[in-house]
Amino acid sequence: MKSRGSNLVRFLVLLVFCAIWALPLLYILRVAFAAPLDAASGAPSPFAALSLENFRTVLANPEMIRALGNSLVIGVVSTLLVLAIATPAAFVCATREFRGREMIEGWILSTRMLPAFVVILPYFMLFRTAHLLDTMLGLVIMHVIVSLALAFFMLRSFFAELPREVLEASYMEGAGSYRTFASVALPQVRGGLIATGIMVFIFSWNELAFAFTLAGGAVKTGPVAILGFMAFQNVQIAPLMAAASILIAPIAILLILAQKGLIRGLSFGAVKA
Amino acid sequence: MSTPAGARSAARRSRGRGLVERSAPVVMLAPIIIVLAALTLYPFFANVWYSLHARDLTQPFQTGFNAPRNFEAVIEGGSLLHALSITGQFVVIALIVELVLGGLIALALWQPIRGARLFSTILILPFGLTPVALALAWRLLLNPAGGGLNAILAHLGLPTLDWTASPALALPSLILVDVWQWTPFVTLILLAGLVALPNEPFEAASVEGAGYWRSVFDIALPLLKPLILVVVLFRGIDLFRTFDTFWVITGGGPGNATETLNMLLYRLAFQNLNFGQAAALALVMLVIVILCTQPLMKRLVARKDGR
Repeated sequence: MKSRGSNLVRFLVLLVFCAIWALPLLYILRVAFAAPLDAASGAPSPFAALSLENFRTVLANPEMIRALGNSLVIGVVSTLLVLAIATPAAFVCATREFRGREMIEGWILSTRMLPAFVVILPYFMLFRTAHLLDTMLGLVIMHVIVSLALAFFMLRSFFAELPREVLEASYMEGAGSYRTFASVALPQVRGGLIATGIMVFIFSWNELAFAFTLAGGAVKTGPVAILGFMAFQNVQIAPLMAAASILIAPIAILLILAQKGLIRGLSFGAVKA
Repeated sequence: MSTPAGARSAARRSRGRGLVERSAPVVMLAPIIIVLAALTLYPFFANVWYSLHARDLTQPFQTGFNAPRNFEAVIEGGSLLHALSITGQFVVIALIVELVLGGLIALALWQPIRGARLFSTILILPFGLTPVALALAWRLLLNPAGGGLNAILAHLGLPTLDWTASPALALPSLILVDVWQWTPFVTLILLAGLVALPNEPFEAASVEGAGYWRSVFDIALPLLKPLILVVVLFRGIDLFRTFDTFWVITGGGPGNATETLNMLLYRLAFQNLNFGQAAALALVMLVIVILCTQPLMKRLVARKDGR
């Protein structure tokens, strides 16, 4: 179905769309690299001189640095835990037939439907009793729990793509489920594991609701710290956008490295993109 | 057909292989089931418990049984119906706009085009990058006094708008932000579906003289129905859960013009410190989510197993 002659039209439509869509991102960078300015002086001219002054302001703020460190630690630890818990389960569900499998998968999927605020209150009370409020461990626990379903379905879709013959051969040779999982299946889905890990890390890094309500005093993550930065530097929009750029820069790199993983993860393996 | 005959027979053979092998699926599934049970069961029962008791942290000595009071209070306050209506408008309008716009852009990217890779890279950034950072940028762009959007409008000689400062425009402003953030996601999902469609029906249709839009509506749309279902389910639930954008850009205001169920729950729990009422509201939200997603989920899971 070729719609002849409309290629130029399509190209122009896409160009305009992408330009409009990129505008807010360019705005962040433009303000971040402008000379320090406040909200009252409005948006900088697109051609104003470049300056690194705002980044110096942000990086001189120890709270911001500590928050980025917290986000990194929480993200890495929760990612490793999520992979450790979700991978064997995803392997079993993708490659074995057993009673109750559909029910279990439906239930795992349904946990994704819970609004964060439905679970925040009970966990707030629980964490208060267990002295986990405002701790790294508390946030790791929450980020593990909320990412499990995502990781499970993403990994499941990777395991489901493995050629059946390879697994069958392994069982034929007398390897059990554990052997087949660890030495046959796992090495083959290495790429999928990495993509899933990146997605789980991004979710943890980006998460606000838990980080804000269950921590945010002594333990701040990047998103929480930048909100504090806003209140502190209310009118200083240039350092604020510099902080925003620092927060999104690592995620931008990860996204470009693992583009397709994001679609697969967000659609729970339903779309391979 | 997620397990072919060979693996099934292998499983059957392994049945004779002793406890270690027979228990393997259970052992490998147990951790995720235990952790997710902690996620779902504990908050559910805790919410039920709190919602049935007076749990006002500003009045710590009043903690008796308080069965229907919390629900009554949430409903009578009038905030619930208002928040329900705001949430409904936000979810429905944003979902429709994102589906239509996302679908059109996906159609434009369907046939090979120069720069497709660059386009998809730009498209992935709005919904992948840290929402708080993007929301902060939008807060500045939407600022009525000297914000970026008004600067552009003024530059083009158009009247400027009050955006998030006006009760009438605050919700549409947030819908605009969400459409910006999530339309690319819809585009990329629908595009993946379009690209995977078989060629034959379209060729047959074009032989019969059907035009472009005719084959889009009569062939592509019906074939993509399961995928559109996926988009509606995941976008719908995420719109319902949206917090970051509201919190950063309007905080529920001006007044309560953008107070969704999420924002109302936050206010009840962490500003009024009335955990009983907040828990009652959480249960109401849970029921809404279950009622809205169950029919979609059933069809989605059924489709997965039919693969």
